[in-house]
Amino acid sequence: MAKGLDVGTMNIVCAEKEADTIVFTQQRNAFLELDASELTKSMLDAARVLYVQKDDKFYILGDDAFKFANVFKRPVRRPMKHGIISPEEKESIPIIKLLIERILGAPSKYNEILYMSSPADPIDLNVNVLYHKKTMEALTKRLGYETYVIDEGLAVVYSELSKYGFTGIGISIGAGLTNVTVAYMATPVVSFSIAKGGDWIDEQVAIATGLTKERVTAIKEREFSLEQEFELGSVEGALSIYYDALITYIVQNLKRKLAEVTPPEAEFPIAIAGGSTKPKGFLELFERRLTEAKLPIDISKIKMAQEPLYSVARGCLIAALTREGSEVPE
Amino acid sequence: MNIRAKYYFASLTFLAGIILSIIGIGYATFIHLSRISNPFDIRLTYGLIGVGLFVTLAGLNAMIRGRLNVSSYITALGVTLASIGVVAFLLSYPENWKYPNVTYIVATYACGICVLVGNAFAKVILNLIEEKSKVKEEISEEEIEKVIDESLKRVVEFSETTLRFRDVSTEGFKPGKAFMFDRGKTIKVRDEVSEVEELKRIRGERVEIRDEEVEDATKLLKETIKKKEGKFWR
Repeated sequence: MAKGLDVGTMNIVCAEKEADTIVFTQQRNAFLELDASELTKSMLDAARVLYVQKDDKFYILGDDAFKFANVFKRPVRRPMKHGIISPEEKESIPIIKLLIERILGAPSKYNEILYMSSPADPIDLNVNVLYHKKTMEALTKRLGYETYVIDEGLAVVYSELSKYGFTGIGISIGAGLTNVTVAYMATPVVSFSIAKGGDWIDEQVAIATGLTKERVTAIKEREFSLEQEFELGSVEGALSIYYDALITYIVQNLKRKLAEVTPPEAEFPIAIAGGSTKPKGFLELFERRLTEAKLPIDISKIKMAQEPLYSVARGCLIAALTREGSEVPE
Repeated sequence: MNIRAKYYFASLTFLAGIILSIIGIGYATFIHLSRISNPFDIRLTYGLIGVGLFVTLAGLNAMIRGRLNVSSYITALGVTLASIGVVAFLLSYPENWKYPNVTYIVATYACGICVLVGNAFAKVILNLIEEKSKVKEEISEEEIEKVIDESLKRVVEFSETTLRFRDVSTEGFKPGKAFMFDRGKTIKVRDEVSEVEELKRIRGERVEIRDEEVEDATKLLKETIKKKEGKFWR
């Protein structure tokens, strides 16, 4: 059975079909380094913490890395930055490989079809995603999968806009990047990414309030809502300011890119997905900023993905199942 | 109102105008309308034709795509002027159908018609200019370079799929106990993934092109670019 994989800056999510359900397996794309000792080892084993040991270091992987980071007040290390393999982390590729191996599991048959998401080239950062794309492709191929790569935004279109003939705009607001794809009948018209996402919000709020980035992330993911009024100077107040700034930035860049192309005459619904869209009131704020921006195309509807965090992986799974069930090669 | 609904509404308005005009002309022929005919017949006939004409033009205006919002206000102005003309005619004929009322009424109606015709003409001209500028943009040097860049990027992406790499070594990493059984947080969602069939259908509708056609198109593009700017293919 085919699989879909979303390799994000913050989360790695695998989607696979099981009878009439989809099974999503998710793990944080992060690790924390600790000094190795017998006492720590027995403690980690007893607590069933996901870790690996190399020389005199323990590398705590995934969600547990965040938990320990908050306890020890130490920053987690991230194998990816701005949606691609981080050049600042020398351990990034082995760690990603270990995480992907765990999440993806072994293929049920040799050359099982796998669709994997990849970011588009950012328009506001001098970065090319080719290296990341090819490295990830090679990693999964070594595991025995027949890997294909699609744009993250297109995966959102596949997952959320089937009712509209796969025509519309898929936006995935992740941790490192925001990916946008304008598609017409399942074919991308324009794809781009913006080098700002949830991480940028966390960083700016951490700088503004003096908290650690991990603490800001925890507050944002646990209790933050854009529908409330916050005290000036509070963490939540800073979060709402930077959320608004991010949304405005995304909408303005979308308007700019749409002005460069000639989209077909059609109605374009918008689907928004990604882990950074979780706060309540996000959709309403996005809708307000979009209405103010007056895009040069007809926007018929703005909808939030049913499962924002899993939408990209689901879109990849749809592409994989379509390819698996189709005899006509693309 | 969405694009499709707008277009249907415009088409129906246009059709309604034509039908009203035809009924008016048909009725005039049927009753052998002349200047000594019954005033009711004259009012009915010219009323129908008068309304039919501006409704047709209003439909036409709505059917022509225009980028300026002001054009819809101009259409509304034309419709209003022509409507005033028709209503004034119906109210004043035959008792008050004399100078200067005739002049005012006819001038108002004529102004309305002129505004509608002028607006439609302006929209067509603006669309033509826009199309021409688009064609010019398409073959601009910058655009050609962009097309070449995009093509090269795709060639690079596809060619590298055949590369072989040595596996990343993770031999030095000793897994902890949980590593063997913990795949990560797992959730199950009831989902038939009905999108797959829809995507297959849409992909099936794509036009398949023979290799020779692509080659012909490539040759044609090459020649066009050569003519435009020889430096790219030297």
